Parts: sequence; structure tokens; C-alpha cells
Amino acid sequence: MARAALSLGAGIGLREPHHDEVLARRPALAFVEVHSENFFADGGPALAVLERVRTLYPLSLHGVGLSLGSADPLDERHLAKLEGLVRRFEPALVSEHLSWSSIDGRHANDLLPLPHTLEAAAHVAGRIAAVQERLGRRILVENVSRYLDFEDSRMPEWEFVMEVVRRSGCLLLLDVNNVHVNAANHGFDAHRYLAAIDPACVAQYHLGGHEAGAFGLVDTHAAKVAPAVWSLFRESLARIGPRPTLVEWDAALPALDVLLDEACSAEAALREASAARAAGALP
Amino acid sequence: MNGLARLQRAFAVALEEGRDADAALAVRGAGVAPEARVAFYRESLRIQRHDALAATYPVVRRLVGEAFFRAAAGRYAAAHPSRSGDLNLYGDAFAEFLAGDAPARALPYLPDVARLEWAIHESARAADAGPLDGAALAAVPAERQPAVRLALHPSVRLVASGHPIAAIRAANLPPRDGTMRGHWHPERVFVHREASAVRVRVVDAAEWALVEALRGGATLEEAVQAMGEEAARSRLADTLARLAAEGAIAGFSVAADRA
Repeated sequence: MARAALSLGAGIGLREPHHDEVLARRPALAFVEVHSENFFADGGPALAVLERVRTLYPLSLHGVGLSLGSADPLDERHLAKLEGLVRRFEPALVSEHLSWSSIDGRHANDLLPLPHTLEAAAHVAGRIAAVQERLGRRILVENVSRYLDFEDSRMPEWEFVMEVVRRSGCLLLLDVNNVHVNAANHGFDAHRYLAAIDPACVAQYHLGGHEAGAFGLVDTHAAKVAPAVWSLFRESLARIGPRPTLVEWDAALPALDVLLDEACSAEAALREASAARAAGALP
Repeated sequence: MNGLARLQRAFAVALEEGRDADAALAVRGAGVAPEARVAFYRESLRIQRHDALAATYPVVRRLVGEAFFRAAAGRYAAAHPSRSGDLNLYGDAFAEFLAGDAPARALPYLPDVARLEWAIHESARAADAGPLDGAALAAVPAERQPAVRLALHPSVRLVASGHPIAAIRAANLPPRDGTMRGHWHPERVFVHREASAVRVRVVDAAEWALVEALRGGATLEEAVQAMGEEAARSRLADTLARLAAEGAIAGFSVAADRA
């Protein structure tokens, strides 16, 4: 069966408490995204739900555990599970994070930041290339929120991101909320970040909620998308162009309608940007 | 890659409890103490571990209360680091850990309740199989029937305890308030997935012996011996029919003739 075509629109992150309601109501969505690891089971109800979901929507598999940035060898078991899912569900998009999680076989199960060095960029790019080879397709890699920088870092985050993308030939999943959170926490200019991104490599946007923490903003995915992030999203659409856009909500999950409302707002912004482009108002 | 490996090892050490002094080695403060930045990640790691265990072990958590559970989750995390990017695999040694955990000794049934909860967790994620082709099984000639090997569904798990672990679990799931009914007695518990839900039921010694024999690849003839001839005579047909109706028997093969 051919992959369901991904249209230029908004989708939501589908989490277990919303499975039944989405299947029953079948809301209009351009796609749905799930966390790959939630479907690493050998069988059972979660996979049965995903079989039904994929007949209704183009699917995006978003991994949180492959640990692309680890100095460890790639985890063969993890990669085999991911490959099995990709072959079985033929998702429209497959993405991972530009981060690391494990060292010497011990996992933090978190999206830990990388030092912004050429060494790290070359290492992670090589691993992305290996994963792409294995899966037989290009993957998307997401810029992460981070709460520290390493003394080793030698370049701004946006240069590091573009270095990895250029070296690996992967696509970029631009998380606009993460750009905003990092700009606020590390004192850089989010507009400068966007200006440095090559539009040709951006394949998807993420929008999520953040909250105030002890020393800055925290990307909690437990709140509505903030006004400043909507504004940065519109700027991204103008600078980079419209792309499939996902609204993420992972903790303190609200009613499905709240999520669908957020997706509607993203959809409206996408339509506006497409219309502006068609009218020649934008490059 | 040496610089990256060195940095990641240093950071992993700094993430461990009580290693604030290591935090400043690799991290830029930029207006915030480097230890505070690392502590942010350490706390997020603690919450991840805790929440993963709490999702798999809701009854253990209910039995010991959140404060105890939180402390136990911390001790477990220190003793059993996560070995996979898939957090569903985290917690496999929790029962074993509780059995050796001094503060948990006041509740001697706790490790067995944890074993039951891990069995349920595994059962939910086990491979799909079946259904059993009942017509084909019925068509096996009578003289070949003793050589039939019934295949259990991959979701089948068996947990035996000197404590009434299924009753304890049932009493501690919402909406029950934890009050135990009936006598305190050992239980043999059969776990399997039926349709999309994991089912838990207590079985007697004969049914346990039957399921255990089938799990070991026994033929029906061998299963009868395991169950006991008398129990088999009165109950084998009904017990197998029930297991098949539940989907716990997913297929069969017929053993080759002995030479």
C-alpha cells in the first residue's frame, strides 16, 4: 500500500487518552503524530489502534529514544524496532531529535543537549546518515529545547543545526517553541536563528506550550501555544514557507477539543501564509 | 569523537544524585549556577523514572503510598539504570529489587504484587496470535489426539504467590478502597490478554499444572500426566474449552510419531 499523501495542513500529537475519541469522531486533520516508542510492543491494543489510525490519517512517527547524538554505538535493538514500525505503518514522516540520551549503555531517557562543536556535528550527521540508509528514507531531525550550554560549544545553535543538516542530508523539523524557549533562556535573537535556516531543508514545524521555570522558560508541552510562539510561527511561515505543522501536548493532557482548536489556529496561519505567497506578497 | 564521549560521561556522572560538584566541569553558567542547570535535568530524569514505574506498578504505589513509592523509585533508579531508549522496558527488576529492599520488608507480599503487575505489563505488549482453528483441531483423529501440542497465546503469564496477590490487586484498584475480603491464602494467578484487555484470574493447582505443561510444549498426553489423571478425567475438556474460548490457546500442532 502506498503511503498516504501528506497535505499542507495541521495535525496533532495523538496520545493514548485520546485514541478512542479520535477514532470515533475522526476530526479533520492533515496528519497525526505519535511517539514511535509507544508502539514498540510486539502486539496488543496500542498497535491495533495505530492500524486503524493509519487508515484515517497520514502518520508521522516521532522518536524520542534513538539517541542520535550518543558517543555510544547506535542501539541495534532500538533501530530494529523502529525499522519494523516504519515498514509496517509506512508513515509519511519519520523524525528524531538532535540530542543524546545514553552513554555506556545507560539511558537518561531525556533529550540531552549536544555541545555545538564540529566534532559533535560530524558524529551525529554520520549516525543520521546510517539511520537513513537503514530505513531507506530521509528522516527529519528536531532542534531541542535546552537548559544549558557546554563550555565546549564553539558555534551558535543555529549554525550547529545547519551543519548537521548539511552534512547528513536529513530534513529539519523546526520546533518553533524550542527556538523561542532557547532564545529566551540563552539570550539570543530568535529572528537571527530563523534567518540562518535554509528553507529548502525544513519539512515540518512543531508548536507546543511552555511555562515559566526557576531560571527561564521550560518546554513542558503542558500548555497552549504562547502568543509569542504564534508570532514566531507566522514569521517562520513568511521566511521559510508553509509546511505541515504539528501541535504537541504531552503532559496534563486537555480535552481533545482544546488540541483541535490549537490545530485550527495553526491551519489558519498556514492558509494565510499560502495565500500571501500566492498573491506574491512574499518571496 | 573522544571529546564528545568524555563530555557525555562527565555529564552522566553529574546527573547522578549528590554529584553537584561534577556539574561545573563541562557546563556554562551564563548567569545561573551550573549545578542548578544540571539539577534541572536530574529532576526531570527522576520524574521520568518515577512516572514510568508508577504507570506499571499502580497497585504497589497504592499499597505503600506516594512518599514511600517515590523514595523506592529513587533507590531502584540508582541500583538499576535504564538500559533502553524505550521506557516501557524500565522496571523489569522492580519486584526483585523490592524483595531485597530493607524498607519494603514490612509488606512481605509486595514483591509478588510487583511480579503480578510486571506480568500484566508484559502481557499487554506481547505478540498477537491466533485464533485457534477449532474445526481443524476437532478433525484430528482420536488416536492422534494425545500427540497434540496446544500453543499458548504469547500474552499468557503465570504468577504464584504465598499471598493472595490477585485479591490484593483487585482490592487496590479504583473504585475499591483497599479493604480485603475473604481469607488470606496463597494464590496461583493466570494472566492473559483477551481482545484488547489483560485479564487476571486465580486458578487451582490442576489448571496451573496444565497451563505450565502446555507452556513447556507438552503434548496432551503429557499434559494429562502433569494435571493428574483424576483431575484430567473430570476437568480437562472443560478447562481446555475455557482456555480456548478466552483466546489463551492460539494454535496447535501434532507431534510426529515416535519411531
